[in-house]
Amino acid sequence: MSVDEHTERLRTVLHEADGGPFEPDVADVRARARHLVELRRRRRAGLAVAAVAASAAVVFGLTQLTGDDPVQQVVTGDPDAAVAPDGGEEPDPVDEPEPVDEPSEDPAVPDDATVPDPAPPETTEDAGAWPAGEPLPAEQIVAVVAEPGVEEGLQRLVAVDRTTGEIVADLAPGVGDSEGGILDVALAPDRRSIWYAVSTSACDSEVRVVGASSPAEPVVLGPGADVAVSPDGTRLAVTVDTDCDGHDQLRVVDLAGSRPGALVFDEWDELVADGEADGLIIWLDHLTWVGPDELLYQVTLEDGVQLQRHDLTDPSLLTAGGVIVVSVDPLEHGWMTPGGSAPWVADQCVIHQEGSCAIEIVGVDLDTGQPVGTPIPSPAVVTNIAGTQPVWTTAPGELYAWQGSEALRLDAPASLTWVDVAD
Amino acid sequence: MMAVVSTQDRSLEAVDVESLYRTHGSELVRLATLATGDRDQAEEVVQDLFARWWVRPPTIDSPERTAAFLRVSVLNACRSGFRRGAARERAHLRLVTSDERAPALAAETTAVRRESERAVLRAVRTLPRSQRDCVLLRYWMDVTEAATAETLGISVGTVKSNCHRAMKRLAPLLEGLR
Repeated sequence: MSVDEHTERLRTVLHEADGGPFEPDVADVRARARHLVELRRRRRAGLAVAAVAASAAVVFGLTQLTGDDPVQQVVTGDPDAAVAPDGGEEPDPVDEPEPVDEPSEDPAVPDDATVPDPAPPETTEDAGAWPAGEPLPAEQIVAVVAEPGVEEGLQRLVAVDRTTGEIVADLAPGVGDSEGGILDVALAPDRRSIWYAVSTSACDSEVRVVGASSPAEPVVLGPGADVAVSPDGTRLAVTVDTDCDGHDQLRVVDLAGSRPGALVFDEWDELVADGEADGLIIWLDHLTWVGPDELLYQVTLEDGVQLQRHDLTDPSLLTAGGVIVVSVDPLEHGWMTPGGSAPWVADQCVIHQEGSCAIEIVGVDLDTGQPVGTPIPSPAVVTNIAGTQPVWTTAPGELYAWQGSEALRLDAPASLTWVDVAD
Repeated sequence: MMAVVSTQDRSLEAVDVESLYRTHGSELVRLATLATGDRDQAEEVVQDLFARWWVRPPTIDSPERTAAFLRVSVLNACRSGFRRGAARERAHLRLVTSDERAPALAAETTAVRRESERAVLRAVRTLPRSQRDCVLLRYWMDVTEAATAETLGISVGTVKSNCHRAMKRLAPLLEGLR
């Protein structure tokens, strides 16, 4: 078959699968616009935290888990109720049909897209008083597990004993996965706080924090899709796509100078003004912040994978420089060990087979970006890499990725071992 | 609705968001459907995108660039949405076996019924993003190589190589189509 025939077949398939015409719904767009305005008003008024707290109280019913199969755990809240309040989304604003004719003049909407800052709410908490619990024991890792039984299920942030695979504690209220659920998790270096990003709509996500020792209502920091805590625990790096235009921005907040519920972008150092370089949009897919040299790594996707390194001790390097390209293709996700050292794990799907994905470990020379050694494949093709974010332990080279009641433990770079998480 | 772009660059054009939406909304939803594989998600992406532009109109440097701007913005937004969709899919996959998935997926979309076509579409969606975007613009929208290059901010040569590599990946599946 010729190339032209292939092309023609592809055209046919694409045209048959595009879903057909769509009738533009101006009223819906206007309603969404009003919702955005209302959301920003509420954030300004400092109500976002209260809204999350209230909704979390509705959906969260787990207090203690046993060592049963984690996918067989039952949420004692109303799973249907869990979807709507996920992420602190406020209810839709009143649906009066007034158009948003001159939205740019709406005083509630700042002209500067990068400054949707809420005013600090009235709070009695001291600056930097983020939730913190007892330190998570060294043998425990933080993981995200899903709940069964509902199509739009719940995800939970849990502590897992990595020696037994048993879920030993629930760390945060259930998070609805209808919008994608938990996107990223970062355990503070002192192991007292857990920062995590939750998708709240097709465009929005927010960063929350909970103490590490017991279930608690999260505190919302603000928007963000990826999180990384600095080695000394004083700063948090997040990626933000404020306008849902695919331009992620990398921001760093001084945690000691911020207060719960008071995400003030003015306090954030915008390290990368825009996710563009040479006309290409860079996607920030994962952050790893390593010490002691204060290096912040971004794993990005564009023409394969880019590993972008920012030396936070030298602000002049916080631009397009320092980009090293690692070609691991096709690749959906990448992670780095907590120490920032190779190996780097690739979550790779076999494109010709539905649900056929594999995990492979790729060694990466962080100075050159060049792969080192031969990629280590997973022991078998898996139906998919289940759960959400794989979780590194504090010991470099040990990664857990969830699949049903099993976890794939990657003892990198020497071997790969399947272990039963539950009995 | 006519809103003047608030910008320091006086050369930028005013943007009529509602007109853009009415004119391009359907095409963009279909593009997003191919990019995400999910019509509902595609509609969400496009509606959310225009809602944000409604609040804060985008800056487009020239009218000639409008279509390109809209297309690349949707593809970018789909990428963002895809991350969330992937996470959602993973969560969902935890709950069902592969055998159970087939009828569920079949029910989700009526546009993709035949397994061979579904395989092609899955393969398109899992192409590296630059290849996927080139394929959709070139072979679905029939955009020229030059316009594709301009839209994606890459060279014509890169468009050619991306399409070539994509077609090489897709060829075995296209051969299997009846």
